[in-house]
Amino acid sequence: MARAVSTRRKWIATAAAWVVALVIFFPIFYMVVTSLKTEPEAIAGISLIPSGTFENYVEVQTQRDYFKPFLNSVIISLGSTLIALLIAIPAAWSMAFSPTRRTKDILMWMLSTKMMPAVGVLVPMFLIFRDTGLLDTRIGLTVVLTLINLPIVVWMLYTYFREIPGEILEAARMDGATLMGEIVYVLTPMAVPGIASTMLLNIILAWNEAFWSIRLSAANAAPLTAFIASFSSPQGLFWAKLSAASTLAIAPILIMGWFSQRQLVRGLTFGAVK
Amino acid sequence: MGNITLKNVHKAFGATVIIPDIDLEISDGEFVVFVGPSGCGKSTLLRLIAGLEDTTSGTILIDGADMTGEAPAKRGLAMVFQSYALYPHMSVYNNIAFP
Repeated sequence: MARAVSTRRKWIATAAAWVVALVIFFPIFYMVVTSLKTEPEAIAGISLIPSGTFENYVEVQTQRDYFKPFLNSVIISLGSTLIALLIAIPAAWSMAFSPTRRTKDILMWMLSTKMMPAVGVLVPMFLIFRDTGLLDTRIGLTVVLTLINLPIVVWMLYTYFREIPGEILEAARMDGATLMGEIVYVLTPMAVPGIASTMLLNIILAWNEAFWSIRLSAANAAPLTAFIASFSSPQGLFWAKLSAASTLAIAPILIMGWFSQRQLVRGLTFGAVK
Repeated sequence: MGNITLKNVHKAFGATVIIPDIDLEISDGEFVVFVGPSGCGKSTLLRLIAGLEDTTSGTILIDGADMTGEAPAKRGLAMVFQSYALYPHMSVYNNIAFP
């Protein structure tokens, strides 16, 4: 009897999970479908059956080269992630292993910078960028993305490092490991999964960042988010081409996410599920 | 074989005295238990003997040899930690064989 109930519960939970997944996935699916329609079809109304044309993709590529913004996206998201990690690993490390009375306050203060709406500092940021000549440069965007994602990176790494018990280092010391041995054989293997999932998540965040990318770049440093945006304004709305551009823009990160999903899920649920 | 002797072992963290001058003699094969409320210095005493903390003053002898400033691994002791402190990324064999 109890078994029957739990089986039914399982069915309901599975069905609910599928419904939620489909609701979340539907806009992306519809975007791909729209990208395979002709323009008249795209504005005609909701329909899930496209005529299956690839002309939008060809058109998008001929109007604006896809590979330049793609390369910019890769450089900016990888670059900002690496710099953020270089700053955040020592910061999170010291906060996790030798906390002081103010560690919690510092963490809150870092997080509080994310609570401010980005528009609030748009004008000063723009002026700083203009006066330092960083407008529309990859370096400028890399710096901005590093800074806006840094609090999240520090927080994630901090929670990871906190999970490494300090006693394990003492155990290693009792066993007679050298300082190098402690770092190489005990600390690093325990820290690397955390660093890897933080890195993956941050690459995705940086790849998808649109607010600063669109406003602080024009032609030279524009990443894929700006590439999508450029299809929405100048010649009116072309839904099919816009969809094709969007599909092209999310494809690389989707593929990366697909291959690294185990790491990602572990990273996102870390600390929440025990 | 395995005698542990503490002579006037004193431990303080800043102004807070955790262990005020302790003399203790543990002979080989003896079974000793430290009992007390939390914060009274049980773990600190164990950590002093193991060498994970330095004494503020006093001497620790193991088998008659002065081990006060010696590294934990050199003392020939074993310790089980509160959180077990196994190396989760290593196999059973490597856990025991480490380092």
